[in-house]
Amino acid sequence: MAENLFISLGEKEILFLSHNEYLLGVVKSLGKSFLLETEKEEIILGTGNEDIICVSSLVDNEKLKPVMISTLYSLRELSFPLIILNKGHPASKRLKLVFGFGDKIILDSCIEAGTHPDQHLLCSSENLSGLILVAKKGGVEIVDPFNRKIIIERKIFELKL
Amino acid sequence: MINICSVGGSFDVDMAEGPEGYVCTECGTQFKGIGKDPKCPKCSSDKVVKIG
Repeated sequence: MAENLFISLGEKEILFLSHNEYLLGVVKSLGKSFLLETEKEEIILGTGNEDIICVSSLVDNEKLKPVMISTLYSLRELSFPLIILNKGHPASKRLKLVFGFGDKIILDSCIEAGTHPDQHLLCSSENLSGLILVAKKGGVEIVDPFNRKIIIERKIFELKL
Repeated sequence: MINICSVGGSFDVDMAEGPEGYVCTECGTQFKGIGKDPKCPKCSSDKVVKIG
């Protein structure tokens, strides 16, 4: 894999990056805002036009692809609110998917999902740890410092019954 | 940048900076926001200003 690889990504597309069955889904955020609902208050998360949303799997399961599409679609297209758990909530141990929003996302293996102090880090399995995604105009730049054989697929971002 | 962790409907979140107060100049809704140009949660207007 090239050190810096630009992949185009349209508004109605999703990228799947995979290595040893572990998945990463990437879509553009389209400058939309997202509703974060904590125990005490509602917080509106604003994003840039070229920013990306990443969803990372913490388990290896091919069936997660449609789940990723469904979840990202519910967030971006239907403005579903995100219910925020307090740190240390028992459910944190059962995380299957983790999400990152922004213009740069670095995947990193983690001991406890959702607890990284560095805000550019997004939890992943060891299989994708170290991968860097940088939002670019019309796409995303992928940097893999370990030159792994990462499979990249571009799919239509839509819900199918 | 914000990280959110999902457990199938529920989420855990890390935020680099605390949210700031905003008011929508279109509908008057006050809300707390983070990130780039958060839009009004009621009317989706981008005509919002920070408040103290």
